[in-house]
Parts: sequence; structure tokens; C-alpha cells
Amino acid sequence: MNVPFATTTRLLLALALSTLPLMAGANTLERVRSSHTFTLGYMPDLAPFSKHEGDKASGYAIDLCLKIADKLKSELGLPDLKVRYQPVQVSDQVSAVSQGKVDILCTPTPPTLERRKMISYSIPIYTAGLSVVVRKDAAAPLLNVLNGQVAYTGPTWRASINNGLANQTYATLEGGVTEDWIRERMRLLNVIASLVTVANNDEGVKLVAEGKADAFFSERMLLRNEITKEGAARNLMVLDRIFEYSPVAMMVDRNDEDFRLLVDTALSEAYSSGAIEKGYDQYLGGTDDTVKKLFRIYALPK
Amino acid sequence: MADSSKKMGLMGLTTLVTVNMMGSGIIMLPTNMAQLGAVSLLSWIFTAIGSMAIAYCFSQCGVFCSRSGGLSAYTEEAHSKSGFFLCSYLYFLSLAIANVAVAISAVGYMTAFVPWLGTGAIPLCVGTIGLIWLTTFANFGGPGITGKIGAFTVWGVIIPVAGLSIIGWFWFKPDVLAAAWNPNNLAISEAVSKAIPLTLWAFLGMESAAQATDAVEDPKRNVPLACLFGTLGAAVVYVLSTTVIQGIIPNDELAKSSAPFALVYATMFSPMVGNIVMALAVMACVGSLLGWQFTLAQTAKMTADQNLFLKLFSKVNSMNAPVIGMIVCGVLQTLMALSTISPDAAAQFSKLVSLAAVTNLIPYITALTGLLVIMHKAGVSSAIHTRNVVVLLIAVTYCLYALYACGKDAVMGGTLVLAVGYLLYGFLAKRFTEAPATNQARAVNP
Repeated sequence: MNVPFATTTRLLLALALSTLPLMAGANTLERVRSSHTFTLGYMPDLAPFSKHEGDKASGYAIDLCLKIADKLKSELGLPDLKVRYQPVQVSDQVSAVSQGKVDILCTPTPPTLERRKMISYSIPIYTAGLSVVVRKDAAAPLLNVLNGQVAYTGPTWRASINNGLANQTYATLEGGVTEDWIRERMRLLNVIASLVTVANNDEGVKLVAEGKADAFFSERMLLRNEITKEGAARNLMVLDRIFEYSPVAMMVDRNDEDFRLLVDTALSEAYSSGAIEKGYDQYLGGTDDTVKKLFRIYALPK
Repeated sequence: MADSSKKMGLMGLTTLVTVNMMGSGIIMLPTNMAQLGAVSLLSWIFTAIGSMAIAYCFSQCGVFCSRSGGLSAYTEEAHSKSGFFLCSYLYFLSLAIANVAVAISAVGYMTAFVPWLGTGAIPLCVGTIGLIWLTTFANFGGPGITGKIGAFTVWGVIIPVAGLSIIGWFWFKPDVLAAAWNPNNLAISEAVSKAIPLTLWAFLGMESAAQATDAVEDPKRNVPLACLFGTLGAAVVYVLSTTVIQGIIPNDELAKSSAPFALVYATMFSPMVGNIVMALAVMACVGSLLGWQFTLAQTAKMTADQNLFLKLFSKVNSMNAPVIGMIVCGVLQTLMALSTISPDAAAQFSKLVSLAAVTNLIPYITALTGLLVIMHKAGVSSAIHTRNVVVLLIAVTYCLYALYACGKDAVMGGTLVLAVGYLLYGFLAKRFTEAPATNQARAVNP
């Protein structure tokens, strides 16, 4: 297993592929104009942001993409613009955008420098928060630690009930930004723990529900959604604490600044018109002061 | 009453002290220290010196006051009968609770061999109650037998822990220790202040020699020596083993190990050896529980002998074991263990365990201060007096800090328990004030 080698290969491959449409001179706005179609890429199982629904999609991010579609209609003078929904898998989200298979990836993702080498990003549309799901009967020391308190208060003496047993298992998404974060912080979390990685949120939540893992770290809204999906009967809870914040945005082609400007204009307008706040109320359980402050930071002024 | 062959000798008593102190506390200590880094070893400087000061004062109490009663007897010298009662009462509660907790931990370690015990609250409770009664019955044979069993189970600590302190140096790599020095890059003062709580209470248990006075041959000589040697031995083994282990196992691995001693032996030899070490640790843990159950019963017996606890605690069988008192303690502890089946009660129980450390420390202070009167009565020379007062002040300061560091919840709970103790003593006090009461009655009604 030569990981750096594999990464380089993948990177080269992605670069080679991404330059193909470039050479063809493809350009998002051109493509939309000539095909009369705006292709929305989305991840089908990331409710409440985007989810598959018949031959369409719905969710917070989809609603925002439809705002962008409206903007395109008026800016390009294309009242009969068709909107097409194209599900995208996690593994090819970057290539789908860079190769022009989709015009925009509605489902928000965290921008990284590595990704920015291949694609570009809109202004943030949401602030992802790394949170954690545990069983409701989780051990008190684990809850204390996850809530940012000392694992054990009170003296450590011969009678302190041993926690060696309570070897905790943390789970997180494979290869996600959170995996590195957890590895780095695990020792400071002061509970003896090992880390396992899972392919998706479903699997992670299931591990916790079945007692094979004790805590699963992932994005707060996605976790909440998983829990309601599975029902309270599964005896899980998402803690209120947010470990790390990360603004997330929509992927767009790297070589079309005009399109990107149009997207950012539509999104900034959605911020100032209150459409985003409405979307929060509808899909994301409402706003609070911090979130509203971030709205003002994310939206670009006229 | 009982002839000396049924009593404990110096060796038995010293091992009792060492095993009682280290028995269950040492098993996880290297992991907890590794999480802070090897810099935490510096905390031993404070805690070992403070603890040796306490042990020295207790042994001085034992030298000049060889009466039965342990901490409570030393306390009575300065704080009279109510001091004796409160000391016994607090210490008894402390042990009764702590022993259940030690049993729970021991069952926890056993899950490595009997996985069923780890499958839920009920198996854990069954295992705990089983252990409580096993160690209760094993004490029926009297102090002599307890000492002999202790002398056997102590190898469970000596082989892995003390053994590591000696042979571990062949595997010791200074650069591993250096790399583990301060992985979190804390300021030295901060790292040490975070580490002190790990080792601050590690020496609780040094008083068990004094508690066993009744069951020891030549207590005037053996109790002070066992207290000193036991504490010194534990200090040396604690410091050496936690140092050497951090120079063998890389910090990352050690900080997340749930069985550090098993891990180090698995690294030095083979996983098989690691398992054997784990089994030995379980044995030592059970051995320490046996010692503590013995100390619990002895404390109750000595207090009942003073007419301050129910008389049934002082009835001994032909082997000099207070069997009825032991059974009463066992029943009390079974009830506590049963309550931990409910998760809410289990959380409450861990608060009780913290409280038990407080009710262990208050008797330390009352007993240590007794030394001042004990020395006065014994008419010691002024040189010894001055020396002992200096050490005494260090010891009491250490105890006060340990008490403070227990945290406000534990100290509050401990204070309430103490206040209830005064109520209880109120009912008992008339037993010791009969003479003036009769005089008064005569004066009013001739």
C-alpha cells in the first residue's frame, strides 16, 4: 500500500481528465446557453442538503441552486431554461464538475487547497459543524469528555472505578477532514480510544446504534437527519457541542469566472433577501445569532 | 486471646500495606501518566515526599502509642472519645464504599478472561457480589490466614510491577523516554500540576498497618516498621515502574493502552506473557480486596471494642476473625453493588467513591494531629519533638491539599456525612459521661 503514490496517480489522472474539456474550450455559461439546460449535480443521500426524489432532487442546497437557475434565466435571457438533476457519487464529485458533466455541485462541500487545484467554489452556503452521535446510555466519562469537560471529577485513587475497560471506539468517515482532526486530538480527549473509519454516515450511525462504536463524528445536520430517519427507538443522541466549524460551498468549474460571479451574485442576493434564512428554517432547524453573523460575513456586498 | 501463631508478622503486615496501596490503583497509572507525558514523573517528587511524611508520622504514633484502635486511637489522644468515634465512622464508610469499587474494577479486569462479565450491568454486578463474598469468606480464617493469602497474592504485584522496575531496564531506551517527555508541549509547571492529581491519592492505604494492630505480633515494633517499609516500598516501585515503562513503550501506544503492564510484557517477551501478567494483576487486585475487607472488619471490631459500634462487630471466632461483623459488612456492600445495576445509581455510586476519599482523608488529619499529644504524654526529647512537628506540618499540609483537590462535590458530601456523624455520637456520648450525670441527679434529688 503506497499511499502517496496512489494519491499522486489519482491526482495526475484527475488533472489529465480535467484538462480535456478545457482544451475543447468548454465553458459553463457557453454550455448552458447552447444546450438550454442547467445541470445540477447533487449527492442523492445527503438530506437535508440534497436528496433524491423521483427524477428530481430536493433539499436546502437544491433550493439555492434553483435560485441560481432563476438568475441564469434572467441574465442569459433564457426563460425556457431546463433544469436537469444529475446524482453524483462522493468519489467523483470533483471530476463531475471539472469535466463538465454537471454545471454546479449543489451539495455543499468544504473547500480545500487540494480541491481548488481542480475546481473552484462559490461563496459558502452553510457552516458545517463537526459533531458527534452517541448512545443515550453512553458512559458518563465519555459524555464529559465529548462535552469538553474533564472526564472524571473527584479524586483518582485506588477505588476510582477502573476505566481501562471502557476502551472507547470512535468512528468517522474514511478520508474525511475529520479523520485527521480526530487522530490529532484523541490523546487530548483523555479517554482511551481507538478510531475506526466508515464509508458513509449510515454505516457510522449504525455502528454506534449496535454498540460496535461508542461515538461517531460527522456533520451535525447530517447526524440529526440520520437519527430522525432511524427513529428515536434506536436510542441515539447528537451532542450539542460543535468541535470544529467549516464553511461549505458549491463546486463550480475552475475556468469560468463569469459563471462563478453569477453564482455568487445569486447567493449573495439570497442572503440579503432572507431566502437563505427561510431555507435554514425549512431544512436546517432555524438560525441563531452566530449563524446570522456568518450570513453577513459570507454574503458579498454589491 | 488468640495465640501469636494466628497473628500477622512483620513481613505479612508490610505486604498487606504495599498490596493495599498499590493493588488496584497501579494497573492504569502508566496509561494516565503517559497521556500527560513522562514529565508527569516529576509529580512523584511532591507526592512521594508528602506521603512519606504521613507514613513517618503514623509510625511515630505507633512507636509512642501502641494501644489498639489504629487511626481512631491516635485521634482520641488529641480529640477524645468523639474523635475516636468520628474517625472510625468516617474510615469505616470510606472502606465499605471503596471496597465495592475495588471489586467492580477487579471484575472489569477479569473481563479479559471471562468476557461474559463485561456484557452488561447484571453480569458486572453478579461478579462484584461474588468477589465481595469470596474475599469475605477468605477472611474467616483469621488474620494469620489473611496474611498468608496476602503474601501469595502480593506476587501478582511484585512479579509484573516490581519485576518491571528491575528487569525493565534491559529494554529501556532513553530516547523513547525523551520522546515521551512532553508530547502535549505543556509548560513544565502546568504539566506537573496536571499530573499531581494522578499520584496524589496513590498512597492512601498506608494506615492499614495501624488498623491491624490487634491482629499483629509485637505491634509496638511491627506496626511502625510496616507502615514505613510498606509506603517506602510502594513509592520506590511506583516511581521505578512508571519511569521504566515510559522508556520501553512509545508514548503514543502507552497513552491508549487499557492494560499497560500487560502491554509492556507483551512487548518485552510475547503476548502470552502479557496475558499472564494481566492474570497476575487481577490476582493482586483480588488480594488487595481481601486485605481491605480484613481492614474494614478490623476497624469495626476495634470500634465496637470501645463500645462505639454495635457489639456484634467485636465477636471473634476461634481463629480471631470477627465473622459476624464481616457478614454484616458483606450484606451492606452487596446492597451497594446491587444498586449499581441501574445506570443512574451507578453514576451516584461514582460520586460516593469520590466522597469515600474525603472520609478517608479526614481521619488522616485527626490521627496525625494526635501525634502532638502522644509525644507530650511520652515525654519525648525536644529534638525529636521539633523534628516530628516539622514532618507533621508537611504531612498535614499534604492531607489538606489532597482534601481540597478532591473537589467541592466530594468535600461537600464528606462534610454532610461528618455532620451526621456528630448526630450519631450524640446518642453514644452518654455512655462516657455517666459519673457526672449521677452526681447531678443526687444534687437535685437527694
